[in-house]
Amino acid sequence: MNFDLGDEQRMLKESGRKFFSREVDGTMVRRMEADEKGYGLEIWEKMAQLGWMGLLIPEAYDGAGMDLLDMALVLEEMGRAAFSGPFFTSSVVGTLILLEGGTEAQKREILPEIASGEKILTCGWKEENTATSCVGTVTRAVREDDHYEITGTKIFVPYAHVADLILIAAGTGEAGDDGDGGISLFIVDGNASGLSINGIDTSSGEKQCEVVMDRVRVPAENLVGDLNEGWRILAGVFQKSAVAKCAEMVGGSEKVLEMTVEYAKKREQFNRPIGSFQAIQHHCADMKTYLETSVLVTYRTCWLIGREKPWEKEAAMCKSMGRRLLQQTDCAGAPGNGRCGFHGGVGPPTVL
Amino acid sequence: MDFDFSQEEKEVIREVRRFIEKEATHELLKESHELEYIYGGPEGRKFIRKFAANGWLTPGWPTEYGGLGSTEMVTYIIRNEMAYAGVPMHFAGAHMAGPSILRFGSPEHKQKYLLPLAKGEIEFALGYSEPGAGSDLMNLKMHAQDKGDYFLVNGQKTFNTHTHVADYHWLAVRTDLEAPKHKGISIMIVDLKSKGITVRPLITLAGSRTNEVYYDDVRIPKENLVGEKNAGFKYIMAALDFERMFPYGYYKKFFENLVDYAKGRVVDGRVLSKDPIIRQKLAQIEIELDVLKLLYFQLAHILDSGRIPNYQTSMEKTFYSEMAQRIARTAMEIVGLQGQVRKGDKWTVLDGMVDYLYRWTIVESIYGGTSEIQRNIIAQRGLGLPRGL
Repeated sequence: MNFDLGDEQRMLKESGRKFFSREVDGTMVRRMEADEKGYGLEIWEKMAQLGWMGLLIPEAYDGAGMDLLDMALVLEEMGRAAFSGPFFTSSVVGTLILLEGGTEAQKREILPEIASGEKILTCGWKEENTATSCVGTVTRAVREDDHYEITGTKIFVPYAHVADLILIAAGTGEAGDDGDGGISLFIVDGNASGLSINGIDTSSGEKQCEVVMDRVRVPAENLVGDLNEGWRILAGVFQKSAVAKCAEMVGGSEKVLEMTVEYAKKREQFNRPIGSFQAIQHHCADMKTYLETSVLVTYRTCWLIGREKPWEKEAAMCKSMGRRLLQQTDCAGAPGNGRCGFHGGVGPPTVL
Repeated sequence: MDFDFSQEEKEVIREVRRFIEKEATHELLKESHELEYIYGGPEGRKFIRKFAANGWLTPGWPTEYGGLGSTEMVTYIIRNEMAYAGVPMHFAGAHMAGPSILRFGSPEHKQKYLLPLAKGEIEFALGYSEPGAGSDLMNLKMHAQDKGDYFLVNGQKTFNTHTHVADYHWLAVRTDLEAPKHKGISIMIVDLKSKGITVRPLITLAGSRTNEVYYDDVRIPKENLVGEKNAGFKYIMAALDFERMFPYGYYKKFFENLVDYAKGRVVDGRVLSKDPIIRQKLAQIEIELDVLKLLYFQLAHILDSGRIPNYQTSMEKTFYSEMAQRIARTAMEIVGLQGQVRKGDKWTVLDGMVDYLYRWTIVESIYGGTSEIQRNIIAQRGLGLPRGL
């Protein structure tokens, strides 16, 4: 076993740390919340030049051909800096779906433009009555000669308002015994007629959209993967994406813990730094443990996925850990949270 | 990064498992359990001598002292296999005193103790805690008076667990009454058969034995002093950094049995494992065991790359001991009333381990440094927070 990052991985992470600390200031999340696009074109292009948009894309499609662990290192730094934008939905979720199910022609056409940052990809699968599966999907795609017509409403489609292409999950067949059969994936042009996109007002400030489709015409060759096999593709991609999301959460939590510890060292009450009190120390120690164990589990799961070893169980465990991590560190950092609230009236979300 | 064992390491796991399967008798496992997995009982000694003949008791030691000169990873793997199998796994000699002798002992000490330790022929007991010295170990009062050619020792130790089955006491004792607390302590090796030593049983909540040890004018030869006089604090701390490691195999084995039980037991007309609440509880433990595995083997990796773990050992210890309590509680919740039935009763399930672990795991977060002490270490060494009072 070797728990250390390799030299190239360390360099990648360091360049991520440098880049984001230079390019992202503490106000990005709030600024992007108010920004119509929700991301900055300038930083987007710089990231593309560094090759990060195509980290997961094989060299044959003009990507960097790296694996999920490499991607996790960059995501960790994004999380740390509270970077905001369509990177995750385009270069992780969307890319993984095309890699998993796309035809050779689709990959050849789309992936190089994702890698170069020229095009943004997103994915719409969730509806009001679906949560962790596609069971109950109402959106339908009906075959008409050489094309399909898609009708239905998707919600929580990240950055659909700036996406060039939207992958849409739609019913094409029978649900079957498990209820998630009969779903197919289609590449839908972001400017297709019959498509209307509206923002959803969420507390996270990330751009989430509803995508309403009224008989949107999609060429038959835009089918991704086999007909009725959509959920099989999505299920695997979502699990991998959840692990990648953990990397982002780990990075964010790392930053929150650092800020909390710094504050505890400086803030004085009863004539001494509050960080010298065991009541404070033990909460910090627990956060440190949550953080380090989450890092271990995240890296290990990415490593398994990159090596095509069995990873499904580990991915689920990783996500479960990641969620707890975030709750633990946020609890400690945020005001009014009961558990500790070290920062008192100065919650980190406003300064991070 | 690499999260797999090497081929050689996998081979070690197979060999150790084969050996234990062949050699671990029912009598051994029974004695081992009754002694709470400490080393020193007659069956344990019989088994461990054979086991140690492979170099497996002290694999990391140099070959001249009976080791294999192998990596820490191999050491950690073997210890975890021992824990999984339920054979004796707590060695005060091979795990604590031995490595300290290797590092700080005189050539004579090395000659006299290391080979017998590696062969499993002798066992030590730790002589640290006293009624007034637990977490604040440096407050210990037992006094060794320098009488020229020997030390004269008087005082009391408590919770010295191996003492009734061990051959030697690894004794922390005050040798300078004037110096600051941590600069007046020395380590000595004491033959437990020495005149003036009384060992009295203390029966714990878990039903097993630890001891009070009284020293009444015990004469200890000068050559039994380990390293320098009054440098004991340094040796104790170094030993903790290197040796504070808690294999998880024992709880992994119990958890596997618990899952099997849940899959096989019908309660209220339904198999336990079909209950979503029980499934969530079991899945949570599976996650924690997986995390612990990474924390545990990470320590071996840190040592093998020439670094010394410090707060990471505290992290592993805390996670380990608190997870043990969560497993015990989870098992009690899942099994219900029969969880309270003791080993041997016809209504017992899981061999009485639910009741036993519920009581035993309490001590896990106390001995070897309480969870509170470990959290202090993580905060101060791992995060650089200032020391309190």
